[in-house]
Amino acid sequence: MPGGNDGLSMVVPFGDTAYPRLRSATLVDPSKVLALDDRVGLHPNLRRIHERGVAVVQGVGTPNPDLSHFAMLDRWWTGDTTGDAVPGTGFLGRLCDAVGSPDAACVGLSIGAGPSRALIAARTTTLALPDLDAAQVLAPSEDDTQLSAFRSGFAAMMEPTADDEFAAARRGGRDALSFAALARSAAETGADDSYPGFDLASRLQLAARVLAADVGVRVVHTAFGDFDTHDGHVDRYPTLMDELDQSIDAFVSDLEGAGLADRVLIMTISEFGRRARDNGSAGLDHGAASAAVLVGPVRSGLYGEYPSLTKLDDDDNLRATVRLDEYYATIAERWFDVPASDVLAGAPRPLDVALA
Amino acid sequence: MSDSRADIAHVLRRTTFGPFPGQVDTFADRDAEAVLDDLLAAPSPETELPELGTDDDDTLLALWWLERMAAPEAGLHEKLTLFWHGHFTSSMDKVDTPKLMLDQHRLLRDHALGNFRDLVRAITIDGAMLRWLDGADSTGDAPNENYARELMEVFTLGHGTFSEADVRAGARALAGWTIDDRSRVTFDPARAFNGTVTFLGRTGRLDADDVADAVCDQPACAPFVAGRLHRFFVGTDPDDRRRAELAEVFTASGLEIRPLVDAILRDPSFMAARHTRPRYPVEWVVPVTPVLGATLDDTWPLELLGQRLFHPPNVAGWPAGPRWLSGGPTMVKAALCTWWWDDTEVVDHADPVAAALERASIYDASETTRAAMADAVRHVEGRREQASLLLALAVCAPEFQLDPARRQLGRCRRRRLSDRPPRRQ
Repeated sequence: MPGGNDGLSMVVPFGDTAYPRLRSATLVDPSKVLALDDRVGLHPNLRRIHERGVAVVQGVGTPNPDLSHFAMLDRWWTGDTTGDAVPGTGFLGRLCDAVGSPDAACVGLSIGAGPSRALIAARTTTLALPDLDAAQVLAPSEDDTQLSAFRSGFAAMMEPTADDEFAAARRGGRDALSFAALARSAAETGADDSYPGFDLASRLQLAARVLAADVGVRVVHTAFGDFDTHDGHVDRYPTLMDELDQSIDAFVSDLEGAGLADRVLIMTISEFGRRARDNGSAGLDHGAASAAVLVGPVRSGLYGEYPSLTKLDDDDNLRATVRLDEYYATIAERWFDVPASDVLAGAPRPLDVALA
Repeated sequence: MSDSRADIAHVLRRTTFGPFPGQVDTFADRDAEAVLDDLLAAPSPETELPELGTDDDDTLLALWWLERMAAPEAGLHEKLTLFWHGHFTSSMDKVDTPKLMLDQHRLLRDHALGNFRDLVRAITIDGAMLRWLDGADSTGDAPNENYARELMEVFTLGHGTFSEADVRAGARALAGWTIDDRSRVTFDPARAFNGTVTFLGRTGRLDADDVADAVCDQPACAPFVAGRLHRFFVGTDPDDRRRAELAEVFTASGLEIRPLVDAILRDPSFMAARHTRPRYPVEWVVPVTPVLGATLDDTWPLELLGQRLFHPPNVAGWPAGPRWLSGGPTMVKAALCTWWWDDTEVVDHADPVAAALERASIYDASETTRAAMADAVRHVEGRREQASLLLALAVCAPEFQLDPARRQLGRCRRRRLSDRPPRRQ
């Protein structure tokens, strides 16, 4: 959820008297909030996710926030909570290395936005897929002589050589070929047409087909929305929540139909939350701690601790109660059975979230 | 025998949107240094911008610009205009008004090889930028921090060179600039901040020009901008010594862009920098269309490749570097070539592989590429099908994305189109 997702609007502290004092223009109507307990509830537009059940991770962030998109995105992508370590690989890439096969055509897949830094891996192959039709050109049927000749010439051009000045370009070519075969089998799997017309929905639909083709993809990464609501938050945010809600609901239904729902966990991340107090022009500046949600085979509930609305940091932002590497450790250990210390520095402790 | 055609192709590739078919041969009697001299000396052209009708959108602007890039006279100035578009970013996705994007484009063109301080002052109160980074809604009572932050972090100084207090102060100093309901930029004193601020060490009742001047005067500014331009042309960041040298040139000239670009391109490191700077999608599509004989009448190919003009994905623009070589764009290029290959002109030559490489301005291709092309063409009959196949392979080859292979010393492999059949190896 790039741009900085406002945790206060997604997971609303409707029972806290400090909330309406901080949020005048951008208050979410407490009477419409989908209560999770008597203090906290989901944004009204997350009705379907609420019905399915969701694990909410409150207060996720870092003890030393940076208000720069790029600095914080780097930390989230690499799993480096404090910005000191700057690993070369991405957190999702390290997960791929831990659970995927180096022989698989693709273990980590980024859909829609180009290569994802989070998916940089050392041993397994991770790819970015822009479009399913484009991908299949390099996996033509044998009847098409010209396309087959093109494919064989292309493959020959991309073979590595001993003294390889073109290593990166040729690797890109070989990745394109591997993925073409994968795309072909995904296209042949057939799709369910009951998705709403949102960008996120079409990307999740593609993800569902790739997962159903069962070719070794273990992590799929996609982004939607611009959450950087410096202005127009009141109009933009409910639309974003609606897109999230409907798209995830359609995705999970699709996975259920394919018998995959118990094998797929959906998690959200964003580089930071938004300023505790709104800026009076119906907008919210960059913040710190936010909230994340997990959907799928999870035990619903609230995890972590809601950040204090009164004890703010020096930039008037919410203080994190869960470190981003603890959130990630939860995914690594509770979902993938990978020790946190294998994929994150410093052995962060997972939250006690039950993930089937 | 000299390296000259490969060197000329390298210069054209980095400083223009070519080389276009046959273009290198038009410089037959000159060497790369002379070609570079001409490119650096060319004055910035006066370009007439298109008229926008009420139904016209940025697609028309994008197609117009792509045509400008493909024009034979397009040189360094055109290339710099693209650089600034990816540097002082604004996206139609949020700006939502073609006229404002056109005005910004005109501004970038006017300043592309001019004075950086003038550019910063102008872009700070540009309508598209005011909307993109929320300046238009910012008021003295409720200042919006977005532009102040990104101006320093992404446009002029870099991360870690300023404080949060500077961001807040800058936002106040800039408040008051807005866009009226006829898409014109205006300053409304009633919306401005009424008081003193301290921004980057400068205290007073500061305005937009003061903010622009303050960032330009920061010691971090010249090296930051020099580094960005170096990366764009050379493909890598300069080392500390080189960065300092370039910053000195930039500062000594009064922040004039042309001398800085000159210093980057005339340095031996530029000619020596092979395989370091993959083509951007725009730099691939613009020469590929004439190579394949296709016509670009829509912008979706660029969208698929990940560089839609007037729609930078975020404030950092389109990053330089190896991401353009990765599986996703490579896959799309293969698809585009095969979708376009019905448009290929039939080219009749005794050595179709050499002819295809020549048309793609690849001089001295690797053995791997030559052999792959020669082998592939044996499976296809028909001159049109053979030509399409070979040209598609040529523009997908690693040599086209980067630079041709390093020529071995002492071996001359120069080939010309001629009536002589090629010698058998």
